[in-house]
Amino acid sequence: MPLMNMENDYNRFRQIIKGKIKENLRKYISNGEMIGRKGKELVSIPLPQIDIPRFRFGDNGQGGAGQGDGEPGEPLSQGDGEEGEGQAGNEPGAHVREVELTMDELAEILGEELELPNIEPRGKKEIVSHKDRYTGIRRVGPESLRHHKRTFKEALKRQIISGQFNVEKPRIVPIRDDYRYRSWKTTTKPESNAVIIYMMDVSGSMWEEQKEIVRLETFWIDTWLHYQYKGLKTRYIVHDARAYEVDRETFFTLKENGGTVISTAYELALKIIEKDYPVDEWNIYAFHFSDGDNWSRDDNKYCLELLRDHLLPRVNMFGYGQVESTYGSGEFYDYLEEHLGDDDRLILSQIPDKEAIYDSIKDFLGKGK
Amino acid sequence: MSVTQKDILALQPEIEELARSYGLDFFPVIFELVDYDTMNQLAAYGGFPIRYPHWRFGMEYDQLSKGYRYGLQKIYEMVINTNPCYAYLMDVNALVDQKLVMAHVYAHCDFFKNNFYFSHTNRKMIDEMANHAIRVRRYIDRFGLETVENFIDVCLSLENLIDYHSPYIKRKGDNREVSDNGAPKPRIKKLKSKKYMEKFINPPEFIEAQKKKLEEEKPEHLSYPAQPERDVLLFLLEHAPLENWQRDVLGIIREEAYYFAPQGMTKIMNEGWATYWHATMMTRNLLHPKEVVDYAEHHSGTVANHPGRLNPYRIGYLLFQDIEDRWNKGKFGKEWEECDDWREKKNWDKQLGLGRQKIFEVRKLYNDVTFIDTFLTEEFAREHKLFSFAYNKENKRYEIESREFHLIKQRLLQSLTNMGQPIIEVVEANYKNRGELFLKHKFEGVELHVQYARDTMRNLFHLWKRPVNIQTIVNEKPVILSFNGQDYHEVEIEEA
Amino acid sequence: MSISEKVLEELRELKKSPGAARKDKFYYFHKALDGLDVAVKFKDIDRYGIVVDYISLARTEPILDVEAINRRLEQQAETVQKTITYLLEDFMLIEMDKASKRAQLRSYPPYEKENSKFFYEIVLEEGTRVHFQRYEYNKEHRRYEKITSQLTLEIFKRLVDDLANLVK
Repeated sequence: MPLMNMENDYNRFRQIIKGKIKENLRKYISNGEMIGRKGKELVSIPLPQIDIPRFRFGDNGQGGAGQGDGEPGEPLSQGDGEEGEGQAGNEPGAHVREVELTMDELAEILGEELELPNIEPRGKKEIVSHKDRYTGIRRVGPESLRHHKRTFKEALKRQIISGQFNVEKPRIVPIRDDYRYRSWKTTTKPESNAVIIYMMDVSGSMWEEQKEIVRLETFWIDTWLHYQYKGLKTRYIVHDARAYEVDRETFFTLKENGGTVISTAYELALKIIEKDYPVDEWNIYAFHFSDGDNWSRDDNKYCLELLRDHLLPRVNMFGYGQVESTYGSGEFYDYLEEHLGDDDRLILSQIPDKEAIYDSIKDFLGKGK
Repeated sequence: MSVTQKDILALQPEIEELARSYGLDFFPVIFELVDYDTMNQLAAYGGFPIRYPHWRFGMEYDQLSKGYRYGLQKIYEMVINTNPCYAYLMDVNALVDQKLVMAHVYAHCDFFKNNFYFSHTNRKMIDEMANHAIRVRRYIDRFGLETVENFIDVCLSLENLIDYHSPYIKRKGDNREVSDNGAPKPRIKKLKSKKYMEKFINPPEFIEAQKKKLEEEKPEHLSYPAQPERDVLLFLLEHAPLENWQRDVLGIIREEAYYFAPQGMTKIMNEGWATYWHATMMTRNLLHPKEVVDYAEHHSGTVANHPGRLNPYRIGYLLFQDIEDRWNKGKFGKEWEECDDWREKKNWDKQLGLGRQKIFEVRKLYNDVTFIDTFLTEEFAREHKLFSFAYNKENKRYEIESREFHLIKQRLLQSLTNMGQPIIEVVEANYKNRGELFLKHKFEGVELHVQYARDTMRNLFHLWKRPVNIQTIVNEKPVILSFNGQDYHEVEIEEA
Repeated sequence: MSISEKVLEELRELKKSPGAARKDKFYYFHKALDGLDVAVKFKDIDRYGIVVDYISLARTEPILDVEAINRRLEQQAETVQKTITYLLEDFMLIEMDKASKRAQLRSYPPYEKENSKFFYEIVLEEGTRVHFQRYEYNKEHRRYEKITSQLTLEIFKRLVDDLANLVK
């Protein structure tokens, strides 16, 4: 049986959906529910516009016949999955395509759309090989990967050189030697040690809405940093008037009620860094999210000290994201801006609502640190 | 324990001979064993390994690989309507399953060869598809991938605008058909001449005079087509301002649509026919006693009752069985129809033995619509617990509507007519005397999906290059939807 | 006489005395009454109402047992939510910090007008102190500002009595 062209057709399809995801990225970023996680490596995204439109019946028009038990008025049990076109019209149709992406593909789209520069890591580098897309050309390959344009180009070149080319009667006939094929291009990616430390204020004023914003934002930061660093480590710290290290699950579900003392989180982060991540070997990223209502001015000062004298010198970057609680936003952001605004290891970002997440990610990751 | 190509070849003669002995008639059959992934690729390509390049096939493949289809997720076989008849089998199936599938395949091949609706299809479609692929690739090389791809997207959008009930594809300027009467520029009758004599034989003055004559003879409004044209694609091919390569590509899409159309129109029958035969051959001849259990599992898997949905394998199979039974017993004709006594009907048996003969005749002459219309009886509906379902606007869901026979039949026929696609015709190509295209949706109870209609009209405009209109019903009111290249309009009209 | 009536009398007296108003045009009242340390900052008072900034009451006698303090805090928070419902904005517990022995309640939902959010805040500390203040959060300036509340005398009295009962 002759070789089918599926690799090309399939890749072309993937290219198109990635383009569509890119177009709608802003929407996906603020609307986290759309992205379903499928295990560790995959996400699924619903894309309703991938269909080729045609004249068809409305979704709630067509009836049909069925078989089995049941009384009039009872709902039809939904069949599994969807029907294709022209299925003898016995099935009400739904047309949302769920497409799957790997985390890497999602990160690529994020990077392209937000124009995120690749990170220049420090520390030990190990070379890791990585398969890329069809960016190369070679002289051998399966027919399904034949690059027709290049093949003709080669043939033309040859004919011109050998004097065979007749301008009056141009006829290009490729020979075996002219054939060109698309190929994988292997790129190498350095593997460096990297860790993210996430800190989140879980005091009484941080409600579900605020935590949801943090959850969405960290998802995207994770996606990008995992793409940049293979083998990225993550640590989670929550704090109200005290700080605790927790696992990922707890980080997002914990409900505390206490007051807010931000320095406790910074102290704990520092402790973790000093214990586990020697600075000259690790690329350290720290992110803190809070509504900025710190307990006292004194604590603000203490935080400043911790940042300026201990944390900032050790990290690639420290990102502080201030969300808005139901009552407003605290002064911590302003305080940091006033005292450390010039330090470019510190990146400040305001995230008043879900729509602001898009720009916030750009703030944090746009500097290529 | 999987099977090899050799095993299949070894089984073939026995099964083939058995099939023939039952009267099945088919072109030479070539079996090929493939793996799951290859099968998905083939299915995405409609069974033809070489197709023009397009992302839609990639999308099909994506969906199939994820098992998002039907509920019958495992495609057991794929048979294509060609001569020789290629049949692809899955290499993971055990031998007993392969026997069943092969028997099933022979019946499909018989159906393709003998059913009237396939009689004008191109049996050398494999070559034809490959040829289509080459032509499209050439255009891609010349005009660029995106240009051609976008154009194909537009064509695919209009792919269902053909005449499904036409038994054969109309050729351009086919004089069997009522072809385009009154084309925009009525042809001037020139006198025959050799090229160098042209100026003398048909001097400009003569041409002018002829033109004038036509003007006078021309009716008040130059309108065409003379009759509503259901083959919209043909109409576009002949009258839309397309470049040559576009005309070629649209032609390709149309050819392929017509090629596949009979398959869509006979799905229930075809699957029923194949199931009938695999069941017959397996139970009577091919099974060894210890294979019976495996077979039962497989067969019941194919024929299983999916709650609420109509399993095409099952309904077709049961209908063929019913027809055979009825014609064996004489349960047809005037006497039978007029009989009122249900007890008498139950015990009716004239011992005519015409069953087998009848089903062969049926598989030859009918399609799904006429099949259901003729042979779905009230007794059958009752016996197999059929019901009709419809959309309940209040509860926003599909619900069981009724077990009344005529409703069941009506709903079923409605969903099958025109392959479940709305009937759309070109009514006028010089609408408002401004060269606008006017289509009409033949409303038969179900409204169009408005958003999709809009997007499709945009594509129509892309080809027609002038405003396009379609008359239909929206929210129970007759309207004309229009697209003029920039915006959409919806205008209510009086007449229905 | 209830403590609130005593407070009112004192505030009126304060207003009358010359030089009582500070440069910022506010009056600051601070005195021990009925065993409680009372502090009120207000702008004006007349026969009908009072424009008050904060109200603070504290019991001089501390509670020593931490457990007891936290239990009392919980009770106080509940009481506030149940009884102080006449200010047109009900209270909700935002933070209960057992370590700092502090509870914070705010009116929910905050009243939104144009570019600002307005809410009341009651802070309870140590089981023996309570502080009442209204805030405005301006979205443009991104700042919390303490603002005055205009209360009728009836409401003011009720509020003072309720707050006093909390910490007595």
